[in-house]
Amino acid sequence: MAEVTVRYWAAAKAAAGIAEESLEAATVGAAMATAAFRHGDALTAVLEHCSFLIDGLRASVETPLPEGAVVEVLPPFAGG
Amino acid sequence: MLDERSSDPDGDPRREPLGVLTLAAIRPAEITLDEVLGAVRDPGTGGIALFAGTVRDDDEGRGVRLLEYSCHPSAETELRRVAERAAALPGVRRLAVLHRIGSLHVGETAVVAAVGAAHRGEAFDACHALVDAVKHEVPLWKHQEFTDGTQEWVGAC
Repeated sequence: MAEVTVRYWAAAKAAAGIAEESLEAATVGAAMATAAFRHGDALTAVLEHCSFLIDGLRASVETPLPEGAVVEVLPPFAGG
Repeated sequence: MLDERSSDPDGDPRREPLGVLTLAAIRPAEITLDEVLGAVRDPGTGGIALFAGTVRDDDEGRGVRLLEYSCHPSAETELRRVAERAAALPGVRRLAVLHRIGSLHVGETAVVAAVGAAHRGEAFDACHALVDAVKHEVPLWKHQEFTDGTQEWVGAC
């Protein structure tokens, strides 16, 4: 388990009700399960469509988390 | 403003030179068509395709009052990346793209992309590819406020 910082953007930030928090998890998927448990259905629905960055690099739900990592939660892009 | 003339990495004179990305930015200030158009004009261009994305007053039957665009700190880097990819498409000479963030009302311009090429087909194709890539690959988000007072994040669930 690693202690990481999770940063929520756009719809994920709105659903979580906070921009950033700390939690402990071994993978991105485990971190998001904890986040969904903490923040409820609104965030769970958004997380299904999100992509993730670990320390600025693309990651999947299986990606292991290094200690002190910053995990960013990016909802689907909607420019244009 | 970027103005880096691409060079041919292989030095092969038969290879078509790559197009040049002259402008790629994300900003809160208003975007004009003229500045993007001006960034792709050049004597070797025979056709310019210009796309402007504007705020529509309707989303699937609901009246839209306002769109609030926001972006991730990496968005401008990603915009430049997709623009450079489009600039390398066949026939492209010059390419420019601006995207706005902040609060936009109905009718305001959210994005302008322009591609100058030797011939119109290449300009249309590259401009289409560029705008599609901007929509799908650049971490931009929009939050819409409807005329009935409700609101939602576009595409979030």
